[in-house]
Amino acid sequence: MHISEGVLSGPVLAVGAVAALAGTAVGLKKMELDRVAQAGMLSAAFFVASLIHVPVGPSNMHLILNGIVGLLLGWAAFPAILTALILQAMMFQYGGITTLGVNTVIMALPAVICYHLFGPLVLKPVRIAVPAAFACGAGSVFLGAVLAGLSLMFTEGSFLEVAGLVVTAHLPVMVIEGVVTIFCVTFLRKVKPELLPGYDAAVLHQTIN
Amino acid sequence: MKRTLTGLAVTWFLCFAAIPAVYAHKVTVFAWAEGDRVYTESKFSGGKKVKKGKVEVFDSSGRRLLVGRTDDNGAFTFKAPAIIDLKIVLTAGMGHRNSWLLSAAELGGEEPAPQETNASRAGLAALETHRDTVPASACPGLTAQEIEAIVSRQLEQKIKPLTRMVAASQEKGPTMNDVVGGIGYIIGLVGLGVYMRSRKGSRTP
Repeated sequence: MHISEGVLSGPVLAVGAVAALAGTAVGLKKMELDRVAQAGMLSAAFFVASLIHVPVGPSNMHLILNGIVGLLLGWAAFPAILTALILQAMMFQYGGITTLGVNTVIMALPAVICYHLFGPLVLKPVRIAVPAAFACGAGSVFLGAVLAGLSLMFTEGSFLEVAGLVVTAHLPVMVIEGVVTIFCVTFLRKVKPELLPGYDAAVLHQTIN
Repeated sequence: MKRTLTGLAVTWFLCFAAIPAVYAHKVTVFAWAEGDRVYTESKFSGGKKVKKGKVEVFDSSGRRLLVGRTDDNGAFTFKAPAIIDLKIVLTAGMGHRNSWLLSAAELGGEEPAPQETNASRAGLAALETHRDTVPASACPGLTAQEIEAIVSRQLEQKIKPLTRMVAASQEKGPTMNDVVGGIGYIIGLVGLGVYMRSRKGSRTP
Protein backbone atom coordinates (compact mmCIF):
# COMPACT_ATOMS: atom_id res chain seq x y z
CA MET A 1 0.00 0.00 0.00
CA HIS A 2 3.01 2.25 -0.32
CA ILE A 3 2.53 4.46 -3.35
CA SER A 4 5.80 5.21 -5.16
CA GLU A 5 7.20 8.54 -6.28
CA GLY A 6 5.93 10.00 -9.52
CA VAL A 7 2.67 8.08 -9.69
CA LEU A 8 0.35 10.63 -8.17
CA SER A 9 -0.60 14.05 -9.45
CA GLY A 10 0.45 17.25 -7.68
CA PRO A 11 -2.91 18.19 -6.14
CA VAL A 12 -3.33 14.69 -4.68
CA LEU A 13 0.13 14.91 -3.11
CA ALA A 14 -0.65 18.34 -1.68
CA VAL A 15 -3.99 17.28 -0.21
CA GLY A 16 -2.34 14.20 1.30
CA ALA A 17 0.46 16.24 2.84
CA VAL A 18 -1.92 18.77 4.38
CA ALA A 19 -4.22 16.07 5.76
CA ALA A 20 -1.28 14.10 7.18
CA LEU A 21 0.11 17.23 8.85
CA ALA A 22 -3.26 18.05 10.38
CA GLY A 23 -3.72 14.49 11.63
CA THR A 24 -0.22 14.42 13.07
CA ALA A 25 -0.77 17.71 14.86
CA VAL A 26 -3.99 16.42 16.42
CA GLY A 27 -2.29 13.15 17.35
CA LEU A 28 0.66 14.86 19.01
CA LYS A 29 -1.61 17.21 20.90
CA LYS A 30 -3.72 14.36 22.25
CA MET A 31 -0.75 12.20 23.20
CA GLU A 32 -0.30 11.93 26.96
CA LEU A 33 3.13 11.52 28.50
CA ASP A 34 2.54 7.89 29.43
CA ARG A 35 1.39 7.10 25.90
CA VAL A 36 4.58 8.25 24.18
CA ALA A 37 6.47 5.03 24.77
CA GLN A 38 3.48 3.00 23.63
CA ALA A 39 3.22 5.05 20.45
CA GLY A 40 6.91 4.41 19.81
CA MET A 41 6.50 0.69 20.33
CA LEU A 42 3.58 0.49 17.94
CA SER A 43 5.42 2.66 15.46
CA ALA A 44 8.27 0.14 15.58
CA ALA A 45 5.83 -2.73 15.14
CA PHE A 46 4.29 -1.01 12.11
CA PHE A 47 7.78 -0.33 10.74
CA VAL A 48 8.73 -4.01 10.96
CA ALA A 49 5.33 -5.40 9.93
CA SER A 50 5.86 -4.33 6.35
CA LEU A 51 8.68 -6.88 6.17
CA ILE A 52 6.34 -9.78 6.83
CA HIS A 53 5.04 -10.78 3.47
CA VAL A 54 2.02 -12.68 2.35
CA PRO A 55 2.54 -14.06 -1.14
CA VAL A 56 -0.73 -13.63 -3.02
CA GLY A 57 -1.09 -14.68 -6.63
CA PRO A 58 0.98 -12.54 -8.95
CA SER A 59 2.00 -9.95 -6.38
CA ASN A 60 2.89 -10.11 -2.74
CA MET A 61 1.43 -8.11 0.06
CA HIS A 62 2.79 -7.31 3.45
CA LEU A 63 1.15 -6.88 6.80
CA ILE A 64 0.14 -3.34 7.65
CA LEU A 65 -1.14 -3.58 11.24
CA ASN A 66 -2.80 -0.18 11.04
CA GLY A 67 -5.89 -1.63 12.75
CA ILE A 68 -3.97 -2.50 15.91
CA VAL A 69 -2.03 0.76 15.83
CA GLY A 70 -5.30 2.69 15.57
CA LEU A 71 -7.08 0.65 18.21
CA LEU A 72 -4.35 1.22 20.80
CA LEU A 73 -3.36 4.76 19.90
CA GLY A 74 -6.40 6.55 18.49
CA TRP A 75 -5.32 9.83 16.93
CA ALA A 76 -1.72 9.18 17.94
CA ALA A 77 -1.72 6.65 15.08
CA PHE A 78 -0.95 9.57 12.76
CA PRO A 79 2.45 10.51 14.24
CA ALA A 80 3.28 6.83 14.85
CA ILE A 81 2.55 5.81 11.27
CA LEU A 82 4.18 8.91 9.80
CA THR A 83 7.38 8.16 11.72
CA ALA A 84 7.40 4.54 10.59
CA LEU A 85 6.73 5.56 6.97
CA ILE A 86 9.58 8.08 6.98
CA LEU A 87 11.91 5.35 8.18
CA GLN A 88 10.56 2.83 5.67
CA ALA A 89 11.08 5.33 2.87
CA MET A 90 14.63 6.03 4.01
CA MET A 91 15.74 2.52 4.93
CA PHE A 92 13.78 0.26 2.60
CA GLN A 93 12.94 2.67 -0.24
CA TYR A 94 9.27 1.78 0.18
CA GLY A 95 6.99 4.50 -1.06
CA GLY A 96 8.76 7.81 -1.34
CA ILE A 97 9.38 11.15 0.30
CA THR A 98 6.92 13.13 -1.82
CA THR A 99 4.19 10.53 -1.27
CA LEU A 100 4.71 10.43 2.51
CA GLY A 101 1.63 12.54 3.19
CA VAL A 102 -0.67 10.50 0.98
CA ASN A 103 0.66 7.21 2.30
CA THR A 104 0.25 8.39 5.90
CA VAL A 105 -3.37 9.33 5.27
CA ILE A 106 -4.04 6.04 3.44
CA MET A 107 -2.93 4.03 6.46
CA ALA A 108 -3.57 6.29 9.46
CA LEU A 109 -7.02 7.67 8.63
CA PRO A 110 -8.61 4.19 8.52
CA ALA A 111 -6.83 3.45 11.81
CA VAL A 112 -8.51 6.43 13.44
CA ILE A 113 -11.90 5.64 11.88
CA CYS A 114 -11.74 2.04 13.12
CA TYR A 115 -10.67 3.26 16.54
CA HIS A 116 -13.85 5.27 16.81
CA LEU A 117 -16.04 2.55 15.29
CA PHE A 118 -14.74 -0.50 17.14
CA GLY A 119 -12.74 0.88 20.05
CA PRO A 120 -15.74 1.03 22.41
CA LEU A 121 -16.58 -2.61 21.65
CA VAL A 122 -13.35 -4.49 22.39
CA LEU A 123 -13.93 -4.67 26.15
CA LYS A 124 -17.50 -5.89 25.80
CA PRO A 125 -18.25 -9.60 26.30
CA VAL A 126 -16.30 -11.94 24.03
CA ARG A 127 -19.08 -12.54 21.52
CA ILE A 128 -19.05 -8.82 20.69
CA ALA A 129 -15.37 -8.11 21.25
CA VAL A 130 -13.98 -10.82 18.96
CA PRO A 131 -15.99 -9.84 15.87
CA ALA A 132 -15.24 -6.19 16.64
CA ALA A 133 -11.50 -6.90 16.80
CA PHE A 134 -11.66 -8.76 13.49
CA ALA A 135 -13.64 -5.96 11.88
CA CYS A 136 -11.14 -3.43 13.21
CA GLY A 137 -8.13 -5.25 11.72
CA ALA A 138 -9.78 -6.12 8.42
CA GLY A 139 -11.73 -2.89 8.12
CA SER A 140 -8.71 -0.64 8.45
CA VAL A 141 -6.96 -2.50 5.63
CA PHE A 142 -10.12 -2.32 3.53
CA LEU A 143 -10.51 1.43 4.08
CA GLY A 144 -6.81 1.88 3.33
CA ALA A 145 -7.25 0.08 0.03
CA VAL A 146 -10.23 2.27 -0.81
CA LEU A 147 -8.21 5.42 -0.02
CA ALA A 148 -5.32 4.12 -2.14
CA GLY A 149 -7.75 3.57 -5.01
CA LEU A 150 -9.13 7.05 -4.47
CA SER A 151 -5.70 8.68 -4.69
CA LEU A 152 -4.69 6.60 -7.71
CA MET A 153 -7.84 7.18 -9.73
CA PHE A 154 -6.66 10.56 -11.01
CA THR A 155 -3.66 8.98 -12.71
CA GLU A 156 -4.61 5.35 -13.24
CA GLY A 157 -8.14 5.44 -14.57
CA SER A 158 -11.52 4.82 -13.01
CA PHE A 159 -11.94 4.66 -9.25
CA LEU A 160 -13.95 1.44 -9.17
CA GLU A 161 -11.42 -0.40 -11.28
CA VAL A 162 -8.36 0.65 -9.27
CA ALA A 163 -10.04 0.36 -5.87
CA GLY A 164 -11.43 -3.05 -6.81
CA LEU A 165 -7.96 -4.20 -7.79
CA VAL A 166 -6.36 -2.95 -4.59
CA VAL A 167 -9.12 -4.35 -2.40
CA THR A 168 -9.06 -7.82 -3.97
CA ALA A 169 -5.27 -7.90 -3.76
CA HIS A 170 -5.50 -7.13 -0.06
CA LEU A 171 -8.28 -9.61 0.79
CA PRO A 172 -5.86 -12.19 2.28
CA VAL A 173 -4.11 -9.44 4.24
CA MET A 174 -7.48 -8.30 5.60
CA VAL A 175 -8.24 -11.79 6.89
CA ILE A 176 -4.78 -12.18 8.41
CA GLU A 177 -4.88 -8.76 10.05
CA GLY A 178 -8.35 -9.45 11.38
CA VAL A 179 -7.10 -12.64 13.01
CA VAL A 180 -3.95 -10.94 14.32
CA THR A 181 -6.12 -8.22 15.85
CA ILE A 182 -8.33 -10.83 17.54
CA PHE A 183 -5.25 -12.45 19.10
CA CYS A 184 -3.92 -9.09 20.16
CA VAL A 185 -7.18 -7.99 21.74
CA THR A 186 -7.82 -11.27 23.59
CA PHE A 187 -4.22 -11.25 24.85
CA LEU A 188 -4.45 -7.66 26.06
CA ARG A 189 -7.86 -8.27 27.68
CA LYS A 190 -6.22 -10.91 29.83
CA VAL A 191 -2.91 -9.31 30.72
CA LYS A 192 -3.23 -5.56 30.30
CA PRO A 193 -6.80 -4.45 29.63
CA GLU A 194 -6.00 -0.87 30.56
CA LEU A 195 -4.19 -0.52 27.22
CA LEU A 196 -7.43 -1.04 25.33
CA PRO A 197 -9.74 1.91 24.65
CA GLY A 198 -12.78 2.33 26.85
CA TYR A 199 -11.16 0.64 29.87
CA ASP A 200 -12.50 3.04 32.47
CA ALA A 201 -16.06 2.76 31.24
CA ALA A 202 -15.77 -1.01 31.13
CA VAL A 203 -14.54 -1.16 34.73
CA LEU A 204 -17.45 1.03 35.72
CA HIS A 205 -19.97 -1.33 34.18
CA GLN A 206 -17.99 -4.43 35.04
CA THR A 207 -18.29 -5.95 31.63
CA ILE A 208 -14.83 -7.55 31.71
CA ASN A 209 -15.02 -11.22 32.46
CA MET B 1 3.68 -7.00 33.46
CA LYS B 2 6.10 -9.87 33.17
CA ARG B 3 3.75 -11.72 30.88
CA THR B 4 3.35 -8.65 28.71
CA LEU B 5 7.10 -8.41 28.36
CA THR B 6 7.37 -12.08 27.48
CA GLY B 7 4.64 -11.63 24.91
CA LEU B 8 6.41 -8.66 23.40
CA ALA B 9 9.71 -10.52 23.35
CA VAL B 10 8.09 -13.43 21.52
CA THR B 11 6.53 -11.04 19.00
CA TRP B 12 9.85 -9.35 18.35
CA PHE B 13 11.55 -12.69 17.95
CA LEU B 14 8.91 -13.80 15.43
CA CYS B 15 9.30 -10.55 13.51
CA PHE B 16 13.04 -11.00 13.23
CA ALA B 17 12.76 -14.70 12.46
CA ALA B 18 10.62 -13.80 9.47
CA ILE B 19 13.10 -11.32 8.04
CA PRO B 20 15.40 -13.60 6.02
CA ALA B 21 12.46 -14.73 3.91
CA VAL B 22 11.21 -11.27 3.07
CA TYR B 23 10.39 -9.72 -0.26
CA ALA B 24 10.73 -6.00 -0.56
CA HIS B 25 7.53 -4.30 -1.43
CA LYS B 26 8.75 -2.35 -4.42
CA VAL B 27 9.50 -2.92 -8.05
CA THR B 28 12.71 -2.67 -9.97
CA VAL B 29 13.31 -2.43 -13.68
CA PHE B 30 16.63 -3.21 -15.30
CA ALA B 31 17.59 -2.71 -18.94
CA TRP B 32 20.55 -3.62 -21.06
CA ALA B 33 21.35 -3.39 -24.77
CA GLU B 34 22.44 -6.06 -27.17
CA GLY B 35 23.05 -4.64 -30.57
CA ASP B 36 20.21 -2.27 -31.26
CA ARG B 37 17.77 -4.27 -29.20
CA VAL B 38 17.03 -3.24 -25.64
CA TYR B 39 16.07 -5.90 -23.12
CA THR B 40 14.27 -5.01 -19.93
CA GLU B 41 13.55 -7.10 -16.93
CA SER B 42 11.06 -6.09 -14.25
CA LYS B 43 10.50 -7.65 -10.90
CA PHE B 44 9.18 -7.05 -7.46
CA SER B 45 12.38 -7.35 -5.54
CA GLY B 46 12.66 -10.75 -4.05
CA GLY B 47 12.46 -12.11 -7.56
CA LYS B 48 8.76 -12.13 -8.30
CA LYS B 49 8.34 -11.15 -11.96
CA VAL B 50 6.10 -8.28 -12.93
CA LYS B 51 3.47 -9.68 -15.25
CA LYS B 52 1.71 -7.33 -17.65
CA GLY B 53 3.43 -4.30 -16.19
CA LYS B 54 3.43 -1.18 -18.35
CA VAL B 55 6.85 -0.18 -19.70
CA GLU B 56 7.26 3.27 -21.19
CA VAL B 57 10.37 4.60 -22.89
CA PHE B 58 11.13 8.30 -22.80
CA ASP B 59 13.93 10.35 -24.32
CA SER B 60 15.89 12.85 -22.25
CA SER B 61 13.41 15.64 -22.95
CA GLY B 62 10.56 13.54 -21.59
CA ARG B 63 8.96 12.69 -24.94
CA ARG B 64 7.41 9.21 -24.91
CA LEU B 65 8.97 7.10 -27.64
CA LEU B 66 7.20 3.81 -27.18
CA VAL B 67 5.15 1.79 -24.74
CA GLY B 68 4.73 -1.92 -24.11
CA ARG B 69 3.82 -4.53 -21.54
CA THR B 70 5.98 -7.11 -19.84
CA ASP B 71 5.35 -10.78 -20.55
CA ASP B 72 4.88 -13.48 -17.91
CA ASN B 73 8.61 -13.48 -17.20
CA GLY B 74 8.70 -9.77 -16.56
CA ALA B 75 10.63 -9.23 -19.79
CA PHE B 76 9.99 -6.64 -22.47
CA THR B 77 12.20 -6.20 -25.51
CA PHE B 78 12.18 -3.40 -28.02
CA LYS B 79 14.27 -2.02 -30.81
CA ALA B 80 16.08 1.14 -29.80
CA PRO B 81 14.42 3.97 -31.72
CA ALA B 82 17.66 5.97 -31.78
CA ILE B 83 21.05 6.10 -30.11
CA ILE B 84 20.13 8.51 -27.36
CA ASP B 85 19.74 8.36 -23.61
CA LEU B 86 16.62 6.37 -22.84
CA LYS B 87 14.60 6.52 -19.66
CA ILE B 88 12.66 3.32 -19.13
CA VAL B 89 9.76 3.66 -16.73
CA LEU B 90 7.92 0.70 -15.30
CA THR B 91 4.44 1.09 -13.83
CA ALA B 92 3.34 -2.12 -12.14
CA GLY B 93 -0.08 -1.02 -10.97
CA MET B 94 -1.36 -0.13 -7.51
CA GLY B 95 1.11 2.70 -7.23
CA HIS B 96 4.27 0.74 -7.91
CA ARG B 97 6.72 2.42 -10.21
CA ASN B 98 10.42 2.60 -10.92
CA SER B 99 12.73 3.66 -13.73
CA TRP B 100 16.07 2.85 -15.30
CA LEU B 101 18.36 5.08 -17.35
CA LEU B 102 20.03 3.51 -20.37
CA SER B 103 22.73 5.80 -21.64
CA ALA B 104 23.51 6.37 -25.29
CA ALA B 105 26.98 4.99 -24.63
CA GLU B 106 25.48 1.60 -23.84
CA LEU B 107 23.52 1.66 -27.05
CA GLY B 108 26.33 3.05 -29.16
CA GLY B 109 29.48 1.17 -30.04
CA GLU B 110 27.34 -1.72 -31.19
CA GLU B 111 26.41 -2.48 -34.74
CA PRO B 112 25.19 0.66 -36.46
CA ALA B 113 21.66 1.45 -35.40
CA PRO B 114 19.02 2.41 -37.95
CA GLN B 115 19.24 6.13 -37.33
CA GLU B 116 22.81 7.24 -37.13
CA THR B 117 23.60 10.62 -35.74
CA ASN B 118 26.37 12.73 -37.23
CA ALA B 119 28.44 12.18 -34.14
CA SER B 120 28.34 8.42 -34.39
CA ARG B 121 29.13 8.62 -38.11
CA ALA B 122 32.21 10.65 -37.29
CA GLY B 123 33.12 8.07 -34.69
CA LEU B 124 32.81 5.29 -37.23
CA ALA B 125 34.99 7.21 -39.66
CA ALA B 126 37.63 7.51 -36.97
CA LEU B 127 37.42 3.77 -36.39
CA GLU B 128 37.74 3.23 -40.11
CA THR B 129 41.08 5.03 -40.26
CA HIS B 130 42.19 3.15 -37.19
CA ARG B 131 41.40 -0.16 -38.85
CA ASP B 132 43.93 0.47 -41.60
CA THR B 133 46.67 0.39 -39.02
CA VAL B 134 45.82 -3.18 -38.00
CA PRO B 135 48.47 -5.30 -39.66
CA ALA B 136 46.88 -7.78 -42.02
CA SER B 137 49.43 -10.39 -41.00
CA ALA B 138 48.19 -10.39 -37.37
CA CYS B 139 45.25 -12.62 -38.21
CA PRO B 140 45.29 -13.84 -41.75
CA GLY B 141 41.97 -14.56 -43.40
CA LEU B 142 39.98 -12.20 -41.21
CA THR B 143 39.23 -8.58 -41.87
CA ALA B 144 39.33 -6.09 -39.05
CA GLN B 145 35.54 -5.78 -39.21
CA GLU B 146 35.04 -9.48 -38.67
CA ILE B 147 37.37 -9.48 -35.69
CA GLU B 148 35.53 -6.57 -34.25
CA ALA B 149 32.19 -8.30 -34.65
CA ILE B 150 33.48 -11.47 -33.01
CA VAL B 151 35.05 -9.60 -30.12
CA SER B 152 31.97 -7.54 -29.43
CA ARG B 153 29.74 -10.62 -29.59
CA GLN B 154 31.99 -12.55 -27.22
CA LEU B 155 32.28 -9.59 -24.91
CA GLU B 156 28.52 -9.24 -24.73
CA GLN B 157 28.19 -12.87 -23.76
CA LYS B 158 30.87 -12.60 -21.12
CA ILE B 159 29.44 -9.43 -19.65
CA LYS B 160 25.84 -10.64 -19.51
CA PRO B 161 26.19 -12.50 -16.19
CA LEU B 162 27.88 -9.42 -14.77
CA THR B 163 25.12 -7.09 -15.81
CA ARG B 164 22.63 -9.46 -14.25
CA MET B 165 24.66 -9.51 -11.09
CA VAL B 166 24.62 -5.74 -10.98
CA ALA B 167 20.87 -5.80 -11.47
CA ALA B 168 20.44 -8.34 -8.72
CA SER B 169 22.58 -6.36 -6.30
CA GLN B 170 20.49 -3.26 -6.99
CA GLU B 171 17.40 -4.84 -5.54
CA LYS B 172 18.63 -6.18 -2.23
CA GLY B 173 15.80 -6.18 0.23
CA PRO B 174 16.05 -4.47 3.57
CA THR B 175 18.91 -5.79 5.66
CA MET B 176 19.07 -6.39 9.36
CA ASN B 177 21.05 -3.14 9.67
CA ASP B 178 18.18 -1.17 8.18
CA VAL B 179 15.68 -2.75 10.52
CA VAL B 180 17.72 -2.30 13.67
CA GLY B 181 18.66 1.22 12.59
CA GLY B 182 15.02 2.12 12.07
CA ILE B 183 14.01 0.80 15.46
CA GLY B 184 16.88 2.73 16.98
CA TYR B 185 15.52 5.91 15.44
CA ILE B 186 12.10 5.20 16.90
CA ILE B 187 13.52 4.60 20.38
CA GLY B 188 15.41 7.87 20.09
CA LEU B 189 12.27 9.71 19.06
CA VAL B 190 10.37 8.20 21.99
CA GLY B 191 13.09 9.46 24.32
CA LEU B 192 12.84 12.89 22.77
CA GLY B 193 9.05 12.85 23.00
CA VAL B 194 9.04 11.80 26.64
CA TYR B 195 11.62 14.47 27.46
CA MET B 196 9.60 17.22 25.78
CA ARG B 197 6.36 16.08 27.39
CA SER B 198 7.88 15.79 30.85
CA ARG B 199 9.37 19.28 30.57
CA LYS B 200 5.98 20.64 29.61
CA GLY B 201 4.39 18.71 32.49
CA SER B 202 6.85 19.96 35.09
CA ARG B 203 6.43 23.57 34.04
CA THR B 204 2.68 23.54 34.60
CA PRO B 205 2.16 22.27 38.15
